[in-house]
Amino acid sequence: MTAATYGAATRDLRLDFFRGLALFSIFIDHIPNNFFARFTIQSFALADAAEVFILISGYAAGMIYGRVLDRQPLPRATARIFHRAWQLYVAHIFLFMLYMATVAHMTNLLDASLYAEEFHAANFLKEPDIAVIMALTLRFQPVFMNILPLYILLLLALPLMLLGLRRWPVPTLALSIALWLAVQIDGTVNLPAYPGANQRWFFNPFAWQALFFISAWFGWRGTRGGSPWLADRRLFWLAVAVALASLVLRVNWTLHILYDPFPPLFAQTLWPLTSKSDLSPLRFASVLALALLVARLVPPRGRFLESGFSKPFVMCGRHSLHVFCLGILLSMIGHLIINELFGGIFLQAVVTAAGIAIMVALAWLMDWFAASGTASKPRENSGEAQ
Amino acid sequence: MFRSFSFGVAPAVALACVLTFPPSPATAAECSVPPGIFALEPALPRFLAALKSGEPVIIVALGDASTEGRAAGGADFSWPSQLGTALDASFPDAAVTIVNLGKGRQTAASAVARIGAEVLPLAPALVIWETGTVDAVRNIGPWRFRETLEAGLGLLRPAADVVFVDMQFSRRTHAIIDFEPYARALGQVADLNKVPLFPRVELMRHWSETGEIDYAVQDKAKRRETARLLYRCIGRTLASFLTRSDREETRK
Repeated sequence: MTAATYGAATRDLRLDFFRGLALFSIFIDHIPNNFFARFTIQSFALADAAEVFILISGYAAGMIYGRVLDRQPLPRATARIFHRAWQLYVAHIFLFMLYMATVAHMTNLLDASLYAEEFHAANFLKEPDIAVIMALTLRFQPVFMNILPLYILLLLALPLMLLGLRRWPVPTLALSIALWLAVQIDGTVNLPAYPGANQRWFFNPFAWQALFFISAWFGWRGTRGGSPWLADRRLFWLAVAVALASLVLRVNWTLHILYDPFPPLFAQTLWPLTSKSDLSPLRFASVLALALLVARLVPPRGRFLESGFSKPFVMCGRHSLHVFCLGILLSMIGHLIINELFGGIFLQAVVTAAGIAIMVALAWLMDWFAASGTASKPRENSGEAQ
Repeated sequence: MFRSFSFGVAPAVALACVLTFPPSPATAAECSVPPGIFALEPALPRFLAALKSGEPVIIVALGDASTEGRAAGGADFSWPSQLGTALDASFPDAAVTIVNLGKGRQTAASAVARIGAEVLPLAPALVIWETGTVDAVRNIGPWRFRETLEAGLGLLRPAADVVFVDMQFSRRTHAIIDFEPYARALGQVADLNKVPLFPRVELMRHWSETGEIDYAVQDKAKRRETARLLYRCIGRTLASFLTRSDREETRK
C-alpha cells in the first residue's frame, strides 16, 4: 500500500500534504502560549489539527483497507488492520516512557517547589504499579498523549465497521451518527480514564468515531468512483458558507482576545458549544466543510502539491506516525527551552522553525532509508494512515 | 472533612508579626507590578463602596492549596490573609473579615459544591475564586471546567461580587501539565460574564523574570520563606487590584 504498490501517479498527494500540515500545526499548538499558534488551522476554522488528522486518517484507512477487503477475506484484512493498531500501540507506549522519564526527572524538582501540593495529582510515580497498567490499557493518557489511544481504538473497530459500511452503509452510518448524537446529549457517555474517579478520555471515542468512520466511508467510496452527490453545487455553496462563517467567527474571537473592547460575535451562545472532547457540532461541521472544499478545489496532484514548497508537508504526511511522535517530544522540549530562557517572540520563532526542520529531516531520513536499504521491497505500511 | 479557616484579620496579623516576619512591611522593591496589566479588567464599584461604608465586609477566598497557604506553613501566611493585611492598611476604617475556604486538591467542581452550604450563608461582599490548577492537573476537560465555572457564577453572582484568580506560574510543569486550555476557558468565562480576572500567572512570571522571586528553592526553610514572600506579594497586589478604581477615579 505504499506509493509503489498502487502507483506513484495515483497517490493522492492531498492526503499527505494536509496530514503534514496537521502535524506541523499539532507541534506548534502544543507549545503553550506560542505566538505562532495564531497562524495554524485552529485560527482559521472552528476545528483544529486534531479533526483534520482524524478525518484524513479515516479517509486513508477506508481507502487502503477497503481495497484490502476487496481482495482478501475478512480475517486477513482484520489482521492487517490490527497489525497497524499494534504499531501505533508500540509508538504510544514508547512516548509514554519518554513522558514518564520527564515526570521522574521533574518530580524531584516539583517536590522541592512551591507547587508540590498542587501538583500532587500529577505525581504518578507514587503508584507506578497502577500507572503503568493504566498506560498499557490506554486509560492513562498524559498531556498531549490522547490522540494515539483514540486512533488505536478506532482501528480496532475498523474491520467490523468497514464490513458494515460495505454491506449496509445506511444503518452503519446511522449507528455511528447516533452514537455521536448520544454524546452531544449526554457528555458523560465516554470511556473511563486515569487518574481520578471522574476522569474520562479527552477525545471521547463515542463522538470522534463518527468523524473517522464517515471519512472512512468516503475513502472507501473514493476507490469505487466516489459519491456523485458530493458534486452537487448546493452542497458546495453550503460548505463555502460554513467555512466562511467559521473563519469569520474564529478571526473575530481572536481579535477580541487580542483587543478586549472588540466585541466577540455570538460568544455567549457559541463558546460553550465548541467542546473538543465531544467533537461539538460546530467543530464537526467546520472540518467537514473544509474537507469538501479541499476535495473540490484542490486537484489530487498538480503544480502546487508537487512543488518544492509542498514537499516538506508531503514528506512529513507520508511518515506521519514517526513525525507525530517526534513532534510531541519536540513540543515538550521546545516549551522547556522557551520557559527556561523567558523567550519572547524571537525565541519562539527559532524553536518553532527548528522543530519543523527536525521533523522534516526525520521524514527525509526515512524516505532515504526506505529508498536505499529496502528499495527492492518497500515496507508495506510506510504509506498507511497514521 | 473540609478544613476551613475563618478568622478576623487583626489577630492573624498580630500573630503573624509575633511568629515570624519582622514588623517592617515588604520593601518598595518587592512585588513590582508591570504597568497596564489590569487595564482591561472590570472594576468593582460595589465592593469598594462596601469597603468605604465602614460596615463589616466579608471576603471569601475559594481555591486550592495555594489559597490555603500550605507551602508557607499555614493560613496565616496565605495570600487571603495577606490581602486582609493590605486592605486594613489602606482602609483603616473598614471592617474586613477574610474567610479562607482554600483546600488542597480542590477542583472547581468541589468548590462549587461548597457554595450553597459554606459560602452563601456568610453573606460575603466579595468572593475571590482561585481555580484552574487542579482541574488542569487532573485534565478533567476544559469544557467541563467552563460549565462548572458558569454554574458557580450562577450561584455566587446574585449574592456577591466575584473575582477570578488564575493559576500559578511555573517554568517547568507546563511540559507535563497542559494549563493553556484551562487558562483560556477561565479567561473566556471571566470575559463573557464581565468578572475581573486577577492575572496571577502573569504577575508570577513577571516576578520570576525580574528576579524578585525565585520559585525553585531546594532548601525547605527557604522555600517557606519564598512562599511567604510570594503570598505577601499576591495579597498586596490583589488589594490594589480590587480597589484600583478608587485611585483611577482621579485620572478619568
